[in-house]
Amino acid sequence: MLHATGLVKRYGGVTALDGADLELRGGEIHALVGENGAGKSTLVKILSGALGPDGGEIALNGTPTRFTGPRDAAARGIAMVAQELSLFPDLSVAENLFVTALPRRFGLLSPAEMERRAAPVLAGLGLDDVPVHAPVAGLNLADRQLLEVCRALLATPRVLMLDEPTSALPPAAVDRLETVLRQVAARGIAVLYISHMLQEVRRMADRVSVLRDGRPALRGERAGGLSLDDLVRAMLGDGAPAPAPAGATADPVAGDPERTAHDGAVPDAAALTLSHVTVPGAVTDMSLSVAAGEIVGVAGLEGAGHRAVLDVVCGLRRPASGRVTLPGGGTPRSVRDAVRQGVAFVPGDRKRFGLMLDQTVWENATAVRWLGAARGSWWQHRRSLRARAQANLRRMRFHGDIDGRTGELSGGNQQKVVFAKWLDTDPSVIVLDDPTRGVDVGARGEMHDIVRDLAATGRVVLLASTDLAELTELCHRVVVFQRGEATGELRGAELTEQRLSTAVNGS
Amino acid sequence: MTQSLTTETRDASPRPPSRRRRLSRLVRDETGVVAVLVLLIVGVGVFRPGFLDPDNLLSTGRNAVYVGLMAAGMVFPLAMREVDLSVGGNFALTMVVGAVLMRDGVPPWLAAPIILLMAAGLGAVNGVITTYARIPSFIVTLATALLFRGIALAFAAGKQIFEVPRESSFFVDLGGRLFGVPSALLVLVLAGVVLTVVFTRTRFGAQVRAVGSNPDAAALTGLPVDRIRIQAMTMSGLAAGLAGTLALAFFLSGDPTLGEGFELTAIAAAIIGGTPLAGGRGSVPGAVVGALILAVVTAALVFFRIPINWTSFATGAVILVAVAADAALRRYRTRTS
Ligand SMILES: Nc1ncnc2c1ncn2[C@@H]1O[C@H](COP(=O)(O)OP(=O)(O)OP(=O)(O)O)[C@@H](O)[C@H]1O
Ligand SMILES: [Mg+2]
Repeated sequence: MLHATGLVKRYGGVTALDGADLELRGGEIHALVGENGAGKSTLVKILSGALGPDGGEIALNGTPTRFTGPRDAAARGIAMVAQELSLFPDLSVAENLFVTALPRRFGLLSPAEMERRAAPVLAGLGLDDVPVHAPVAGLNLADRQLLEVCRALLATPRVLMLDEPTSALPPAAVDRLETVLRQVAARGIAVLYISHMLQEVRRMADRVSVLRDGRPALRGERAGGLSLDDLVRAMLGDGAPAPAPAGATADPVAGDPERTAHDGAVPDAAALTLSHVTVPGAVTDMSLSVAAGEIVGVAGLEGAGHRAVLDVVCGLRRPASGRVTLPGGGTPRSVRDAVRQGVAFVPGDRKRFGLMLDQTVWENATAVRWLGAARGSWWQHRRSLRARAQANLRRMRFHGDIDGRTGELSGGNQQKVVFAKWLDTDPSVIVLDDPTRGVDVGARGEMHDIVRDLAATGRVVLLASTDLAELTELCHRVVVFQRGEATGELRGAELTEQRLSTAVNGS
Repeated sequence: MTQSLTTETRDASPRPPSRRRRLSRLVRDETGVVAVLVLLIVGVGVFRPGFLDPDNLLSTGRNAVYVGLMAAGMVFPLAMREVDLSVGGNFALTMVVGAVLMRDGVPPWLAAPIILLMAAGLGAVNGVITTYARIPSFIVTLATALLFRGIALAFAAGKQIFEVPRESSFFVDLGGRLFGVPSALLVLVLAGVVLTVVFTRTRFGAQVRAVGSNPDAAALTGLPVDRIRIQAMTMSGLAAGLAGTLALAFFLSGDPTLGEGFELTAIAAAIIGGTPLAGGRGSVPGAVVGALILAVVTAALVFFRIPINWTSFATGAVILVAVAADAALRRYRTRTS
């Protein structure tokens, strides 16, 4: 249906695509994978008319085509959900859904018509309880990501392309999205989707293509015949040592002697304690103590209150009652106060909370230590700041120009910058909220190693993640939340994805 | 990825190639406005050679000093998505209070630091109200502009204050020339250099840009956003006060009606100089050059004997042309970089 051959795209001196091919067929779900910076987003931007290629050809239903812009591509039945969300925060949910073609009656906006058309699509993705006329700014990242998908579906496309639609989604929403995509494909629509979750790719996709350094490494292979190893090898190249992909080993927790040893120890020196913390509308009378060196996960369905734990620790919210005590003995009264007391917060919503996209990479990577905590000289010693940024980023296989604008990085590399800027502060408490969102398997492994190292040197780590594998791989124990209360705890051998999933969803 | 290779090799080489690129980018950011300024001067000079007379150029430059200082200070609020509309009022109040102090026997060189402090304080007041009353700085300074000027008018009873010790070196030297150049122009250059350094090479400058670039991220990164805002508004107030002090020295009087509309000209100068209202970026030298461009245009109208009533029209046209040219240049640059 949509066939691209030999696509080339250069950004200044950087060659993002170097002869990429892709063939999408109607009725199939096609997954596109590759390392951070491999050129996946660039490819779909070209296929959806948002970027013009420097070379290569695109054929739509057999006829060679050039898109003049996204509107042109949309008019010819191509819909895209971009990696970085592009909703209008001050417009309502309904207005966002129909922003290019607002339904009108007698020349006026028709809210009723909008609602009628949007309702089934919203329901299909589990967004039925989202207030349609409320501004989008109030929604969480997962809902906003789904909303983008709705918007694309409402355009009734013939080709639907999704750039990392599941990166912020909890498992249940991923399942719903899968169902919806299958229905869409069953109607003969060609679906392309990009993801770093290789398990999910194998489950969901009919075919898989792999990009490596802007060149095709696999061209639309049947997903059934591919193992995780095959995928990783295709992504990284033959010579590369294959890192253990996410969730590839059956149960990493059981096999880790260090961790088992830790579990046996009584957490004597509680470094971080929450005692009887209540945040109205989120958690009630919550107590938790985390020892130095522990990695503790918090899990729950959306609104279960586990995120509020992160919020109170990093000073985003103040508990109405109860007390949070940081390792130094202080209480985080505000974000700034928390930062000064050594709390680091790595958010998944990097565009909004994490990065200054128009500033250079090194400026971002040094922002917490030098600007936030105001450590180091008041004079900008560029050489040493750059060197610090570079050293921190190198640990995470960062690909990019540290003097370039941060907005020009690929999504995964941006997330690495967010992580790096917090590493720079040498924090004593590390709060992670979907820290590896959009990061490829290799770099994800590196980031996990860094987190383990931090814990091993006596730091406290709190983790929330929509990726259950991340919780089971990384955490010593996971506290499960339901309706604002901690209802259970999984540790050691009990800590498996399956058990976690059951516990989260309630017995 | 080809990029990862360059990252690796960059470390090996003693001088990263990107440093030179960054330096050239720094310089090139202002090349657009500087080129416009030079073209304007040369262009006018071709038709009216008298315009190129050093004395004329220096006095044209002198005329740009007040707006130039305000524009340079304004870069700080603008780069953090704030604005200071009270600089004109601040300017007048500084002048009048200075004149009153001097009339009442305070030695001019003692009065000068006092009024500078006061001007900075007025800026801080703008920042404090903006922060703690949670009102946009646009509205706060719209109001304080009237307040400041109102106080100046009341203080001076609506009249100019002439009774100042004119023989003091404050008036003779600061209001006159030094090494053959108007002292005010030297002060503008000096202040421009200092503010440039503060904006580009200090933590405070970087914090201002960080907040302007992404306020949410800045707050979550632990930046003291409120304090930075107050400091930025203080900078702007201080620059306006410096302008008022220089004006007092030059005009030998305190005039509460002077400086009306300077705030918009100053904002225009800053924008011409490459400080977008969107925040995150800014250029102090650009703002000063922007003010010079506007002064050259005004002076050129005189040389071409165009009625003074056309000044506003010409200023407006220059703003549009300069900003459009700058945007075009930037687009061209990103395409070819
Ligand atoms: N606007 C831009 N300007 C300059 N370089 C860019 C720009 N956008 C992308 N690049 C570069 O192009 C390359 C490919 O980026 P792209 O976003 O396509 O990667 P990706 O495969 O989507 O990665 P990720 O998995 O991290 O999202 C990267 O090296 C990136 O730095
Ligand atoms: Mg991408």
